[in-house]
Amino acid sequence: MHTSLWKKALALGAVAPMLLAACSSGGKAASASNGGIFTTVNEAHPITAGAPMNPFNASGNTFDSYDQLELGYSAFSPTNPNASFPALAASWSLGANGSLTVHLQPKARWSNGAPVTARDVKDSVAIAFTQGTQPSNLASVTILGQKEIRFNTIPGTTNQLFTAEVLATTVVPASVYGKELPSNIWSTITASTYTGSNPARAAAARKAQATLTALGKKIAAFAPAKDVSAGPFVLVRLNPGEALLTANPYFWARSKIAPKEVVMRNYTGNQQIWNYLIAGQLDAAPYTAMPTNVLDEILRTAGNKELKSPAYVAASLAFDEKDYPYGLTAVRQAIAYVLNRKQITKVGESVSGQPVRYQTGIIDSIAPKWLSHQELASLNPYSLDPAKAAALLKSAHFTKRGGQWYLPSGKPWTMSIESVSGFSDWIAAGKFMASELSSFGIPTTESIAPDYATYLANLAKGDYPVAFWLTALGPSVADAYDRIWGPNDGFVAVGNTVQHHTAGNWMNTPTSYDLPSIGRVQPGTLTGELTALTGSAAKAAVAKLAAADNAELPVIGLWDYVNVQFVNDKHFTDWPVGKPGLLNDPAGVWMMQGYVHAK
Amino acid sequence: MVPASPPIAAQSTGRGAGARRRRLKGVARRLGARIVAALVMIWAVATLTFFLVHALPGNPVQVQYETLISHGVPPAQALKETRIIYGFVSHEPVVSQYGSYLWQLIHLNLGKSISYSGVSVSHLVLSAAPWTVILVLSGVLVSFLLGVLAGAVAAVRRTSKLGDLLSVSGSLLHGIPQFVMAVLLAYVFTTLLPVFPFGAPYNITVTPGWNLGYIGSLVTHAVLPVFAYALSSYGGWMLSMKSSVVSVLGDDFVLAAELRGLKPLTQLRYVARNALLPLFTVLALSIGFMFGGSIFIEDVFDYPGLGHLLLASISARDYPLMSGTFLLITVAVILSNLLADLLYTLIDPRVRGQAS
Repeated sequence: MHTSLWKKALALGAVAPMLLAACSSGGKAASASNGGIFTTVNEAHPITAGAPMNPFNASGNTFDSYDQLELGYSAFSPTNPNASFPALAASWSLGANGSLTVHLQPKARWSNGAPVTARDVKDSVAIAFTQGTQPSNLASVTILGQKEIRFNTIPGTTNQLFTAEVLATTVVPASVYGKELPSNIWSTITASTYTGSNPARAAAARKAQATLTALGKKIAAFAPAKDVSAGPFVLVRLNPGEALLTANPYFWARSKIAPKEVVMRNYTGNQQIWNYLIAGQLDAAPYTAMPTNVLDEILRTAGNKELKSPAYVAASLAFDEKDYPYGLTAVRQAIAYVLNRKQITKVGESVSGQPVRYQTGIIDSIAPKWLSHQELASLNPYSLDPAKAAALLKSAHFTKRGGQWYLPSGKPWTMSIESVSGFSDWIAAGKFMASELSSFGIPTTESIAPDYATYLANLAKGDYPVAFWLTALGPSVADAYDRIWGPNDGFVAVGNTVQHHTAGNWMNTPTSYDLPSIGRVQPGTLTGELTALTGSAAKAAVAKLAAADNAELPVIGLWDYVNVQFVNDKHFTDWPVGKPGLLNDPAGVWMMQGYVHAK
Repeated sequence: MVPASPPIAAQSTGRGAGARRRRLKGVARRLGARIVAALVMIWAVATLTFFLVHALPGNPVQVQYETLISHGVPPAQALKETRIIYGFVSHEPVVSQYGSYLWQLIHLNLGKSISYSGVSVSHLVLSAAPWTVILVLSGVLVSFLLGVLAGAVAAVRRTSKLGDLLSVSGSLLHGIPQFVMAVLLAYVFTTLLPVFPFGAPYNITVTPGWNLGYIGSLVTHAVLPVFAYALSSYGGWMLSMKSSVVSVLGDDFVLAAELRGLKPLTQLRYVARNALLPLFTVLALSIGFMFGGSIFIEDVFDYPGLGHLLLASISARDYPLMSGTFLLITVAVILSNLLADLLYTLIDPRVRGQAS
């Protein structure tokens, strides 16, 4: 009797979760089998419980390229930052006066059936002004027709990135957001852009800017009652862990969009994405740092495969040159000769890292597009060579006794490499570098900051002589050099000039170098000017900056990150393999470009 | 002439009513004093957490920008997204920020979040609180019931193999940290043997409401986090109960009950009631601490409660959200402590006697 009761209880216990699971799965299994649901993760924007469905909110629950659309999406071209894929803009053309005319998709409609018009774009640009995210030299916009709009620049200004900045405009429906804007919004915007010396107009500009700031806060916190999307999907509902989007029946290229629904999953750490991938639950997943054993496990799951493309970011070792002896070029070069970048990458970022080869300040894969074969060949590769490192240190009057290096003053030289808790690749690489440097005779320890916020604050305060730093950002080379000789080195672009400040300067590099090969270079100024240069002038500037970076090593590039994404072939196929620019965009753009089909 | 005495019944009623009034007055006085003390404590904690939170190094705008960069977002886009939150960072001196924080607090306003671009902190905290309550309250109750039951059996049968087994189970589970338990359960039951879902409070494809699909989904998604919490707390309850029962078993009244030939079940009822008293305060405090959530468990299972919110706010250096979440947790603990004090008076006749 008792045994029977126990058996029944056990059986019930075993069956209950299955019954509940069966109840809870709803229709998912059936529709997933025909490729209906596309499950993915938005790495840059987790789902945030309580945040509004508003793209202007920093944590807003809208999903770029799915239910939130821009005029166009960057093609991530290393040589043409304006190259973009069309989205709400079907085409665009630059005018002789620098203006840009945009033609909207003729069949573009919002998910409520209303057409997407130039008025929607104009209101969206007005909102961008309230958020400070408008194209940098935009003066006004002119509606030329229901589907045609012109973006006018401030007379006398140039901006090589104007097209890219205009096309990056997020477009929202005027029927939802327009009522948040006062009727005099454009006169306020015009007043706010005044930069002349007339005291009355300057005061009016300050007042207008304050008005726009206050309006911007109001709009950022605005919570629309429902999602009205011009994208391929519309947000149906979300909980703090998942969002459900359904196909927008009015999307202009509906036939290109295979999934009937998209489930966007939240994540708070890499481990969760690994678990989803190992369980085969994601159709597409963004780049996630992972060790080799996890990669192997992910690739063992049926259908999973990896897609690789260049990532415009590198991990580097940065120096605060005001801290002795790191202001000495010979010291930085000696450290570069001691570090085995191949091994460091293997230890730190074996899955999605490629050891830096050229030391140019830009990622290796785009270096040949900017530098000639001859220029590349003339660069110092800083291959592993402890003897060269020793010679350099001796030339700088350092001495080695009893296996340890001493500063010219006679004090023993010790080093600390700063890293951050949670950045497992940096921590592992830091530990390895510490052991390499210690073996060479510079006793080195790794110090780990408790979190990224603390790390960044201490770095900015100048507390770290040697620390990890992300460099070679892109695709624009101006952004890559701005990371070295930009605000972190005290150089700030103000209008068309570059100023040097002590505030925010923690790298403390010299303002100019005298290089034997190319003469005097002012890297901060040249970096500031690079934004306005094109063609051969831009190439010449990049050649100088690359040479300066290679000779002076303000940072030592360790590895270039590789954008390793995962897709699963179970329900969908036709991924943009071999399209590096497109792979850097979210999967909604892939679909708009005709990729991703149901199996 | 001697005045007529009131009837004895009337006299005693009058005395009884007076005593009740006095007792009620005493209780009200004590309650008033406790409430004042609780308010002072809340102010002290609010002040302390405000300044502690603002002493943390970091800048919300820089953190947001660099985090986006580390995720491979191009600098221009990262800058665009970061500019939005700059307007929500207070640039006033900390002391005047404190003044306005207190003023808002008096009006039950916890301020506006930075990382959520001006969304009210109260709204965010109240959105997250129910998930924590579901998770931790279920975990506390399951672990309490299992632990108390197992503890009582382990004490009564302490010389048997069953007693040993239960004691070992308690010690073993008590020694496993919560996050290890969570990671282990998550890996085994969601990845190796994908029996349970994780990563959300319910399946988004199910329509929320009073339907079997939704309730089933809620339950299946909560099973692992609740059990991670319950298993890691079970040991504490079990060992405390065992120790308490063993102690009560040595009391004279148990011997007296035995000598008077009371049934074992009746004896067990007496023992259990007495042994449970010390655990009651801990239970009340656990329910208060519930709002602190179980940070590690919520993080591992991506469960969207207050612990999750607190971690996110710390990473983002969202000062108003950090202060608001800390405050809610503190208030919950203080109130549950107050409630435990009052209820203790009701459930323990000895304390009630002293009080009156």
